[in-house]
Amino acid sequence: MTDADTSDKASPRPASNWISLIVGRTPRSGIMPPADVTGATLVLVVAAMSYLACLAFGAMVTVTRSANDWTAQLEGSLTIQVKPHAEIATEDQISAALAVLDEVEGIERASALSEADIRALLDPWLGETTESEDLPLPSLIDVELSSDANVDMSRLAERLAAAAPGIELDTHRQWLGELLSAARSAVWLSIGILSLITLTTVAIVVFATRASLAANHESVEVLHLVGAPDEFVANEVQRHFLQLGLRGGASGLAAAVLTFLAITWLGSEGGAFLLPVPGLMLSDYPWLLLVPAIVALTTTLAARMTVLRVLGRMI
Amino acid sequence: MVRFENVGMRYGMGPEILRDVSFHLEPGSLHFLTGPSGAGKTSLLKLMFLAHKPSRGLISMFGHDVATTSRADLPGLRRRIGVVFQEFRLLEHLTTYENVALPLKVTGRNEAEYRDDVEELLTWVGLGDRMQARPSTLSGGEQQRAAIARAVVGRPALLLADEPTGNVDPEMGQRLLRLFIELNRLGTSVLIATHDRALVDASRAPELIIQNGELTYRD
Ligand SMILES: Nc1ncnc2c1ncn2[C@@H]1O[C@H](COP(=O)(O)OP(=O)(O)O)[C@@H](O)[C@H]1O
Ligand SMILES: [Mg+2]
Repeated sequence: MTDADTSDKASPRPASNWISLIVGRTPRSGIMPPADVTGATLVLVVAAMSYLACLAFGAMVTVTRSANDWTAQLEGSLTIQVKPHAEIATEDQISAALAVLDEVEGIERASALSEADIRALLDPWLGETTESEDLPLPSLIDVELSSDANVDMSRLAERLAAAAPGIELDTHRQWLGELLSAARSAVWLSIGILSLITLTTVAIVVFATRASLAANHESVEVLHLVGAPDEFVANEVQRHFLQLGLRGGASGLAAAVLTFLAITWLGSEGGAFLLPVPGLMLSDYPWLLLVPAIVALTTTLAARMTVLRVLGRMI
Repeated sequence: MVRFENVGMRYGMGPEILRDVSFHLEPGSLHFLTGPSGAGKTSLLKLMFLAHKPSRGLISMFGHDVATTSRADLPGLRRRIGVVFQEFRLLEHLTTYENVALPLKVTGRNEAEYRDDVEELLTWVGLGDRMQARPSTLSGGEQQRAAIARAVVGRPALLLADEPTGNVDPEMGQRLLRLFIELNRLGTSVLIATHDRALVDASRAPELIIQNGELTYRD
């Protein structure tokens, strides 16, 4: 025996904790060789899938929150504009409108805004309007709906218009409604994209698992012949795919977080987008951790099912 | 413990390699399986370690009809059978120690429970200082002994050895034969496929002879 190494006590195996799974230190005694499962290409593909999933997820969260804000706005209140009119004094217009509102069921409170309130509302749009005191400003009536109100808006608009000239029910409600349905479509689109990403990831993993089993055919057969149940082989293989999912998922997440931070930064710089981009809030970021977790779960389960199915067909 | 009745075997659509093979191995017995190269010794062993299905006939292992044994029950049966493959089939990405420990590891047992046993066995077959070596760095004889160690490490009820002395010098051959006889004395049924006449003559054990696809028995 030429082997100089006489310290032949097998060294204790390093603990296979989750950190070693992420940084890729495969436990020394893996029965199945990694066989490209954790190769750079596959990790890159899974990272890209995770990145896209994070973007879709982030977009979904953002849009959902905006839509909720809008909905709250929509459900809580509405505004009535009272435009100055030659034939009738503004006070009379307002009291006519209030009289109509008084008869409508589901209205909690209706009050005319003071001129100062209106100026405060318009300032952001018109600038400090101190010198345009004489600019004819519309009066506004702020209406607060009770929470279970079911007001027929078009009927109300007609009655208000009939009550006095120059009274208009603000139609931003309709505009918001359209925005909301667009938001809902966007959420469904995100869900569709997330499903597609999941399916693609599963398909990639199934493919890679089959390739890995084929490449390790001899190992698998010997494992069987020494009495390993299919579950043992599945555990060995799925461990590599868990590692793949964690590494790919973590990389994708990191790239996505950088992207979101960049968007938020560009948004706050102003001018990059016409609409203010709410971006992700600090409290949203932990939710993104779901993505690598789900990716790792997906790769692991897909690999396990594939192994069990392929082996089930062997003798 | 092993019963073959009118068993036939073929590879795919090829000719029948084995025809009407019938025999019976008692628990605790030791037999040789002999016959010229290409006669079908390895093929017969494949039937016994459940790597191949017969094209006809009945095979019963430990009282289980292999034709009706479910896939989930196969690992349990295989663990009672130790196999020394003719071409060893050691896994290249594992060390010698890990290869030999494999049958114990796949049962889900904790390594701490069996490490000492495995190391003792490796030392006994003369591989004590080669435990961390990869199989490809072992000589033919060392690989042979590693393969034998892996076959016996789980204390199987039945040991099937396919040409286990094919790669060792006569002296080591006799030593391995003594190992098989010792295992047999401890209760393991042993079947040794070989075309090494010296080995057969040295032990006076009964012989199963395959010739032209048929099996005869010689006491
Ligand atoms: N996998 C296989 N596919 C087809 N034919 C095979 C296969 N293995 C062995 N054979 C054939 O079966 C016959 C018996 O082979 P084998 O059982 O290996 O004989 P032995 O072990 O006695 O030398 C030989 O003719 C061989 O060519
Ligand atoms: Mg042979």
